[in-house]
Amino acid sequence: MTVVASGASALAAPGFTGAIGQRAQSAGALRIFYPNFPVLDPQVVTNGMWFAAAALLEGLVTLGPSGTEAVPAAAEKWDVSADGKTYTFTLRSGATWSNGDPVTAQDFAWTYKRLLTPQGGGTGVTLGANSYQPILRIVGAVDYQSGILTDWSKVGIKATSAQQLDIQLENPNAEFPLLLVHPSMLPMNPKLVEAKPKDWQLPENWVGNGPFSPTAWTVNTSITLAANETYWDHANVGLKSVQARLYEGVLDTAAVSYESGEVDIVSLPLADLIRYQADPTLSKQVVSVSGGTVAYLAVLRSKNPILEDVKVRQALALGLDREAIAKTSPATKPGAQLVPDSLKGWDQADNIPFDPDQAKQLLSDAGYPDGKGFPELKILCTSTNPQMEALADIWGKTLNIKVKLDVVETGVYVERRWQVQDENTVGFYFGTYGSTPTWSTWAANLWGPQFTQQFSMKAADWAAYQKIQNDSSLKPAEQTKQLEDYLAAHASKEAITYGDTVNKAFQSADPAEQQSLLRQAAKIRQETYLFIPVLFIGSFYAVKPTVKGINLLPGGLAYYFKSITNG
Amino acid sequence: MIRFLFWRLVRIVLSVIAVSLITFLLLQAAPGNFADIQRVTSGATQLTPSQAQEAIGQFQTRYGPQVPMWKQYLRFMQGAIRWDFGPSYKYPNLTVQHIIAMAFPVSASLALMAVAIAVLIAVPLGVIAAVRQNTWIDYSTMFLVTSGRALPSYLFAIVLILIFSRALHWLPTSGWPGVKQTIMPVAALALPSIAIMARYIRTSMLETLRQDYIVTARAKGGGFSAVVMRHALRNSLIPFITIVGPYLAALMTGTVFIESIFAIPGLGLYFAQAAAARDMPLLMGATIFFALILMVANLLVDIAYRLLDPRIGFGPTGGR
Repeated sequence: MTVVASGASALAAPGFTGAIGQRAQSAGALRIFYPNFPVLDPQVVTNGMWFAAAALLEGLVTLGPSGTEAVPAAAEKWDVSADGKTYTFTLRSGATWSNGDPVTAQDFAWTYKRLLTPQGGGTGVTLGANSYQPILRIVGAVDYQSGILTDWSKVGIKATSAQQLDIQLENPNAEFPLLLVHPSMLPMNPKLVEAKPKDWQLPENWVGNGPFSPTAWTVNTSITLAANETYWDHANVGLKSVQARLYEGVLDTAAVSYESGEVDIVSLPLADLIRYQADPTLSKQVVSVSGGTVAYLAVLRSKNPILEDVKVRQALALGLDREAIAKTSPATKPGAQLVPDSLKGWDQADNIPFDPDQAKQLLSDAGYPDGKGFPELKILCTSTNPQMEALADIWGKTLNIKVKLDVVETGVYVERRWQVQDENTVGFYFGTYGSTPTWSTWAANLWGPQFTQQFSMKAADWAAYQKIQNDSSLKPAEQTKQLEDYLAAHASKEAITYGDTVNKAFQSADPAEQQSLLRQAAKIRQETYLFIPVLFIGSFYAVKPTVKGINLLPGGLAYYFKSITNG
Repeated sequence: MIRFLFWRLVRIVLSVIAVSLITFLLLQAAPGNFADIQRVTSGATQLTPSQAQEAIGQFQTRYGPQVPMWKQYLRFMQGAIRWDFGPSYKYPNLTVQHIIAMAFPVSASLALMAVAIAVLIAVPLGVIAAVRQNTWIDYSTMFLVTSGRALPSYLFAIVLILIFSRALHWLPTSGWPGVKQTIMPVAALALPSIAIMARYIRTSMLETLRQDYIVTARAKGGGFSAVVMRHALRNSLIPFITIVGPYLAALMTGTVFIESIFAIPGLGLYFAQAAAARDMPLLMGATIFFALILMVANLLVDIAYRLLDPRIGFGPTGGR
């Protein structure tokens, strides 16, 4: 699409707003693009869950303006017990659903039960968001979800009155309120969802507690929202209506639509970002947030054991010139840690240094002086872009080895990255990960203890482990036990130390100590070099000058609609 | 006639079964599955394989994970006979037949408009080029038409967007529905059709104009334009119909590029997404529907053919 972007500049005065825009624009209305979603269920992993969080439903807490703290929302306050394990949320008095019923603690408890029901209340036919549960560490939640525990009363979620919700944690976690901003923790109206298990999402049935309600929705086409007048903070909602045009896949012409005044906010792909930044008018309309997403490489298991040597992996990690790769795009920064710099207490002292000399020395020690005899390194990925090309090129040149991008279809990618590769294939798969800026997420969720330990196993052990995973004759509890035992016996020492440090962190009732232990755990994990961080990727948007109050957040949410005004 | 129809219908049924079987087997052979792919493409948290297993386990449809492959196929086909393809994996709240019912009219209306415009432009162009064969009119018309054919519709679409949206601000870049939203996609679809059809008409006209009866009609003092319009064009249209029918059917089932560029919720886009996501019911349903549309279009063409030209009969093997 670079062709369009650069070719287009010649055809029109940049920033010119034409007839289409002027006619459609009215004060208090916002027009945007949004990636299509098949359902609006916050408990199903689709773009719909993010849309619900941004506009339609309000959780106990929301992300504050800084993007790194939780602020009261449906709950007006919360108290933590002395041992740090019990959170008591007091719901906002007077807050109602859009049908006038009060929002109660029972509603939240009901919603969380739906989320944790093994069949996944909302999931049934697709992927549930309850995979997010483990990091919350709510007493009994994961066991209930996996079917080991069947008595809901043993799960640490209780409505003690209409206004009070108690959540009991296995361990103290100072970041717990922040973790609750995830869409899967949004409330749903029990009466409605029970009465209309599928159609509750349709505008004509909708009952929500958020600042907006849907008024019209055509799948794959558009959704229209109107401000919800029963919302407790309606006076502070800046927009009267929102019109989101839904699109599937990639919409290459989005930036052109923005320039011709069809939409007020647009997410900028790389080619357009470069063009916008070079334009004196448009560059003033670009806003960004960094630190939401990390691009990383994860080691592929292979019959060829060369990457099972931690020294070799370390050499590769040290030989990666992240500065040079990041320079290929204005949207990226060098990412020398798996933990992004948007976290409170992040320290660049933990960075993996760029040290080509040590890298070469390590390779030489491992028997590959000046890269001689080292097999071609493959990077499994689903698409390529200038950064990926730069990654392969610069990495290979620095270490005098061959690095090749192995671009495959998504279905091939998801299957191949778990497989044990043949003798001739050694390398990494490329991935990106974005989430809320909490230490529990970044130090202990993706690339969490179990995941890291799985990656640390030798290829043959990994194959045996997968066999247990696929054994459908085992009962859930039995299978979990066998997998745990196998992992404990075959994971690397470092990976187990990492797991122990994470556990130790979660035992600590002192928030500062907890954070420091999590940081320490992340460092231990990093030094296994099973996952190699490459870049921090920022999000870039163009926002019309009439639009005020947009507060970009790192991660999947992008921004809340509530604070935005237009015109 | 009845015998002809009967055998054609038998052939259609057998073809649909073959198409469904091939699609199903290919889909089974394709790497990856819906849940895994969905997780990667929806930007969700990456799960470990064990968690993924749980997620797929929860993935309850009328085809559970433990149901063997052949049973899944039979279960699907059982429903398909009653035009019930079940819910799509990706759109769990919508059945496949509902999606087809929503998206087909969108693609079909675009196709009808595009083909209608193409016919209106291509027929006169082809006739003029044939009548003025080997003159500058013929050469320049055919040059334009060949260029139009060489320019893929998705590239033409982008050129249109650059001119009419970016530079002139006359038309919106994308969206659905709306008159303004329809202009560029229809134009982009019509252009290659014009090219194909005009060339076809020209060739067919040239052949007809050389026929003895045209020479005779001219010799008997028939005016040139009357002869061309009444005799030559009418007879040239018979082979022309052969291409318009299936062509229309192909466009009606959706065009991935155009629908994707203009964010049009047509069938082509759903089909492409279903294939990428391994959404079995949607992909199967759409494929069967496509096959039916194409075969019915061909059947209608064959019938029209026989009605226009009585020399072609309704033989048991379907004539030609």
